[in-house]
Amino acid sequence: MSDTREQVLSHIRSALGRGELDEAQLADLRDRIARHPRHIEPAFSEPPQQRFQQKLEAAEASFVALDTLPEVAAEVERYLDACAAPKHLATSGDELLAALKWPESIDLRPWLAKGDEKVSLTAAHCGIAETGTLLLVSGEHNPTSLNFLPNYHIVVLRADQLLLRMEDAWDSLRTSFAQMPRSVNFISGPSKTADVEQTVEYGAHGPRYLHVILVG
Amino acid sequence: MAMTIPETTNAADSPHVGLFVTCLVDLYRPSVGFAAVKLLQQAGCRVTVPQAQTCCGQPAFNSGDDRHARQLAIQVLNAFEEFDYIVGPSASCLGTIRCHYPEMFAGDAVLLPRFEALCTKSHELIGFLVDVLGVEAVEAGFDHHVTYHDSCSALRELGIKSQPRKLLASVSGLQLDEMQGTDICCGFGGTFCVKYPEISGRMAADKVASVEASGADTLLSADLGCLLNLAGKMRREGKPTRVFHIAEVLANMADCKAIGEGDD
Amino acid sequence: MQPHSRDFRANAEAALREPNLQAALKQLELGFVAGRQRCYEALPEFESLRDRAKDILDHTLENLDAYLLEYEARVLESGGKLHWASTPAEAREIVIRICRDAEAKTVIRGKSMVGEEIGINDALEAAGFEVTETDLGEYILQLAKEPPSHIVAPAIHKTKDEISDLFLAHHRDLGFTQRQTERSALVNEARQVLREKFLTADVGMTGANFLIAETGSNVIVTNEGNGDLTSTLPRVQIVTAAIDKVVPTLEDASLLLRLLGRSATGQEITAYTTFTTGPRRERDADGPDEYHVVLIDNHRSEMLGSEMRPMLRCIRCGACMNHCPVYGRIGGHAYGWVYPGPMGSVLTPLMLGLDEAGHLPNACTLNGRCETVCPVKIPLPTLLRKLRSRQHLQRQNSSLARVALSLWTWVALRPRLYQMLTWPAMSLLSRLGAKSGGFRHMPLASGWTRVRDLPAPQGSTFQARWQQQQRARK
Repeated sequence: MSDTREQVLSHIRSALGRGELDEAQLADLRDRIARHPRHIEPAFSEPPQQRFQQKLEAAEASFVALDTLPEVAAEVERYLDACAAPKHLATSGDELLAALKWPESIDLRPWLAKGDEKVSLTAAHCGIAETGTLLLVSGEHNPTSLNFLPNYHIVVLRADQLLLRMEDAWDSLRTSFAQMPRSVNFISGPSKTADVEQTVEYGAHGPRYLHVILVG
Repeated sequence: MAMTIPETTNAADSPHVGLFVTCLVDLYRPSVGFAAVKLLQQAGCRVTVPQAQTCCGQPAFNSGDDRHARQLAIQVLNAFEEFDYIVGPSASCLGTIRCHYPEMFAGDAVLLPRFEALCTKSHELIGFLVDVLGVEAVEAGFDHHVTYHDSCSALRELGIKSQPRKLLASVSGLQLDEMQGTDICCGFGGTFCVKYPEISGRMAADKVASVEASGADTLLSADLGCLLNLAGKMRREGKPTRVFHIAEVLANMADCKAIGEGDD
Repeated sequence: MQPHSRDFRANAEAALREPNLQAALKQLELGFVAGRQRCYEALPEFESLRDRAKDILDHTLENLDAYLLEYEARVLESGGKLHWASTPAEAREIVIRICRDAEAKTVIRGKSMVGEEIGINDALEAAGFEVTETDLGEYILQLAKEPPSHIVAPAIHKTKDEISDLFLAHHRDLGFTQRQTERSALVNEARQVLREKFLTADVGMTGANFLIAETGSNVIVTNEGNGDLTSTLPRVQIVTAAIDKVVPTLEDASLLLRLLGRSATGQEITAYTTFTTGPRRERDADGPDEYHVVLIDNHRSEMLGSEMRPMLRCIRCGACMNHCPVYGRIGGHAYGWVYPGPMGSVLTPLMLGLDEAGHLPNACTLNGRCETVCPVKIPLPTLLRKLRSRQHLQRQNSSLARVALSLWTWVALRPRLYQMLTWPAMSLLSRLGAKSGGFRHMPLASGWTRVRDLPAPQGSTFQARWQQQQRARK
């Protein structure tokens, strides 16, 4: 097996008309990786929150902005009532959500990833205004499947975590984590497909509904 | 058919153009060549038509026959190198000369510089008139509804799109009705049209339908290959649209039989 | 899959006569083509992005070995395993071994063109595994036992009716006994059926839109979320990817992602873009226990060392085929293998040989629309023409064509002779055709006259007339 590895590498090198790169050349490449230069980033003039909301809504997600964190619980209840969705939900274990006080009417359930849970509530690591995108990462208290299995996915984002571009998100991740989280999900709308006669339908495999709550 | 061109009265220091006739114009529709000469003379050029020219080598080049393509390219080089410009009424031929001759001789230290020099002074007719000579209007009349087909070479190899329309706008009585999908290939593609006739025929049929839908009674283009393809398709489908090369209309020489038009 | 590229002409002609396919292809202009155009107009930096993307990828290819080794090191550091395969057979063997070692029974797949390239489904099934595609389009095709006809929208040729029938036939035993006709109901039924598969599968196989050397991640871009579930729920994840997928950094990927969605479907970003790095971490709440990458060469190192290298920049967006007037009339199946349209016409001969796929580089008018829209500026018409050169040198093209070109060139290199021969010939043809203006039939030109008339020439030749006039003046 390592023979194949050497074979492929040697084919590549002879295709490039050279042997292995020397230490100086390798150092250059590693340096480029370490510097991770940013490239042309499309300009936009709208205020970030406005753009963020506009892009999300254009992708058929719903959006609401709240002033303070405690309001989130009431907003979740309001949303589920408005959708006539079942009022039980599983949440990720983010500190942000742990601080919420839930009314009796909401049934908090542990996450079993059995596929029949209908509603999940998670917190985004950050948001991206350019494309109306949420960034969610896996972790001890953040099962990735929470972002994909339920029918209704509600995401809380702190306003001071709304960044401009994906490149800003990378900088944020590099600062927040020693190592790239196992699963880094950029979510820009509910699940959809156009595989039946090139017409868009929602709720293919992931959540049919994405509701974004911006706080602060 | 007025295919007589008076001797030019342009001064000896006017731009000296070698006319690249192209094989299709030479063999199939000489009036296009005469129209080209007239337009160039009217724009102030001295025009010479080298005798030692036949084919630009495009059929060989596109068929992967690089050796024969190069032989023909060298013949073009020898015949035309001396002129200020080489101009011809075909975007596909001049596209081959301008864009592909250097490619054919990449790595040839002796010939490449000569071909690079040649290609910078090679132009398709309409592009030359508008972009190089600054012609903004022609003196011609054509009282018809016209639609214009952009050949793929013109559009993508030579950047020719607005120039024909600019000159057409100056033709008195001419009404331009743009069709849908002017930038979609007509299905000629050189040997493609005979190798894959069914696909080519469908592409031509779609283009003919677009022409018809535009409401125009006349189809123009700057490439005779496209025009022969579409005129042939229109005849087969019994469409009455008349087909000319744009040079004929601009030179006020479209009073002859259209492409594929019979005596009836 | 068994290639059928040899039968291109017959396949194409059959496709021209299929009304459902023709309707679906017409829709492409309105959907993907119009979508890309809207994105293009809305993004002033589009052309600069293309230039930069080309530069990044050229740089990566120039240093491919080093970047692959960096990528490998990061994969291993994150707890993943990386396997190298030169050929499809080696790749299949590796995948089967991983599944066997994991004592797997069921495999689910997110869309991977490389997976198709190596024929992994058939191989897994032959080895006794149950395989289910999870991308809705691929799932539909799996039921229909058909190959994909487009690299982004694989089931573009299927009608809603056909899908209704397929679902009824295959889902009846699972308790779905009603034939659904509404699109949303069909999607919902597929969601329920496939949900079961997601929750019970042992192995999840995905492809990669990109591999990131900086982090050892694979990137997948979907709208459905199937790739994400496939990457998360089963206990083993296998990524099948080719060696040309690696890019140096996360920022490089961000630039390419901006071009990918816009070029493919007219989307600025898809619903889901996921970067996966290794198996679950020790404290992670979910994720697979094993993460394997099967890195495949399959002729790419050959391409790297040849004039075909630019093809390796391809990010599999499908813009070329969406804009190709030939693909737009015959669809993907006519090309006979995994990759259709312009990019398929370059790749198929390079991977399967010109014997099998000799038609493909020739079934092109060299109109260049593909090159205009390729986000990474691959000179597709040039590469196709170079394949024709290879055919010519290897004498794989028609001998009639070779003789005709040789003869044409021989005469054309002798202008006087050429002129002497042509003016009487054209005069004759002109006289024969003058009355009607053209010919319905013409010996030696049946390819032309099969579908169109041959207009009659004007008569004589330009050179004859011009030279006559010049002589008259003297």
